[in-house]
Amino acid sequence: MTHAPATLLQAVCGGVRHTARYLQGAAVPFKDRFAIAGLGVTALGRLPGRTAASVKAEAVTRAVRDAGLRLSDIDGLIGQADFGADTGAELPRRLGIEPKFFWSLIAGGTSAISAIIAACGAIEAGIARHVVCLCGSTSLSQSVRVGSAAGAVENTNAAYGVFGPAADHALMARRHMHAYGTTPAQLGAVAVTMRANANRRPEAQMYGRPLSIDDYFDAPVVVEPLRRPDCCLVTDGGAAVVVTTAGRARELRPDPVVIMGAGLGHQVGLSYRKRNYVSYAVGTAKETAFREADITLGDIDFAELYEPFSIGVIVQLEDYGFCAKGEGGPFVEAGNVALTGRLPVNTGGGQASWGYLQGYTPLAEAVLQLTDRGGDTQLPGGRICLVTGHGATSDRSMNYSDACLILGRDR
Amino acid sequence: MSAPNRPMPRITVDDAPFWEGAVRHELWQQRCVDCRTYHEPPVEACWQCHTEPPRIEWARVSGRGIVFTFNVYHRAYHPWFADMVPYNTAIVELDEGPLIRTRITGCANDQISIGMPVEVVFENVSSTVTLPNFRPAPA
Repeated sequence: MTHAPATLLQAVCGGVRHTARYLQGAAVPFKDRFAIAGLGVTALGRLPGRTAASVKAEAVTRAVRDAGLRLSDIDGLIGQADFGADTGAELPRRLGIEPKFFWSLIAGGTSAISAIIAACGAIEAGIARHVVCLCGSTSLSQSVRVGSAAGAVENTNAAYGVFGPAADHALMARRHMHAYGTTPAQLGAVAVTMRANANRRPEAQMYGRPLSIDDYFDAPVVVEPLRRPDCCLVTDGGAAVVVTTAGRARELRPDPVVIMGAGLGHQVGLSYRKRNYVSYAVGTAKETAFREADITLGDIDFAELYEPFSIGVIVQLEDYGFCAKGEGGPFVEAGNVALTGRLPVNTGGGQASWGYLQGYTPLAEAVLQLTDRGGDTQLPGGRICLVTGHGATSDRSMNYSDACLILGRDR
Repeated sequence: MSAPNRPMPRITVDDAPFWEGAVRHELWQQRCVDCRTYHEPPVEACWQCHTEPPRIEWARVSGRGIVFTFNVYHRAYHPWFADMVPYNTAIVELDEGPLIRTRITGCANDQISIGMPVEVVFENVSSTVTLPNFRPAPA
């Protein structure tokens, strides 16, 4: 629980407010009650000879050590679906632990943030004290080509040659260009900015491989209008975070990363309103998270956006309100999301240049920055970070679910 | 080594009327009985009116629409499509409202534009499967 009331009057008022919220059907306040006490990230890129199970185990072990805990302190594990056949089961056995639960939480690109929220729920329910949320795969070594299909396939998308998330994001990029005049150079500006960040981070998968706007236009087109640098990487690697109460996290380290607020939401109406190729379903997720955190957009110092394709950065900047709808391209092109810009985005290079760990890419980078481990890309004044996720493209419509997490230094 | 099999649509009880109509060279779409909102792909309940209990029906549509968005593949994700690269896929906005996933035939990829009027054209793939594609149409 939070601090003890200083006076009897405060206790009574707090109790009345608390009871009133229960009577209204609201959940117990979430704001600032939970925190991330540890982060583990493996090497990123090609890890020959590794298995998904060993990568996951390594990520979990690193996170637990980072929190100053022992493996036996883990009461819960929440993994996610990863690409490739080797899904790394039996994690508790491999770690020699007996947690209360081990879930796989499958919610596309909202999985990481959803796992954090579920972890908080399990802690709140008194089931667990330290929950590790994790991912890990060997997609690159397994030569996973997301969307590829070699054998017999029977689905309507495949009948038309539609494969992979690049397809739908390409449809989105084209529609956005038509609706708002977004240019290929603006897509390229996203890719170039992210790569510049990654080139200052030795652990990044694309470290040492600079990308200029000319390089961008020389790169092969994958699914028009998206070029290879517009697309996320395929990565061997894993990451994990330890979630616990804010109070417990303060015992474990001087710089806990506080979960200020979180939100989720589906908006299938986006497709009925024919906005699903120019917008993400940000509304409910953003509203819940910001209300719970009790902050406004202006309080966000930097953003770690889920962006497997460049168009995603542009669209999210607009939908979160950092710029007007349709102005995301110019916003990026003007340098606003660079490290020295007014809203640094994807400070480690993101999913196209740092490494593709799905929702753990933005999440891990947020934690690194908020614990002063951003290395050469460390932001000097970053206190509050927006982390996002959005749902996997579903069978025949553009993704319409979103996740929003607000993390901050202890206040 | 045999040639790769062509990927086929998955026909289920939920969308059988669409595919049965296509075999007859007719375009059919599911819609809500109560508010006439079209649902593509098919649903169990209507997002627009939330009428309880939900009532859905199938109706034949005109087959006309406009290109809503499109993309062009420059790599093959399935061997059957390797020889078709570069090939397009598209979302067409039917005159009646719904967005449908399809492809544009009858013109080069670089002639496709958003807003271009199109009309359905049926491709017989097998004795039981016909694919609705769309081609440029007079405005």
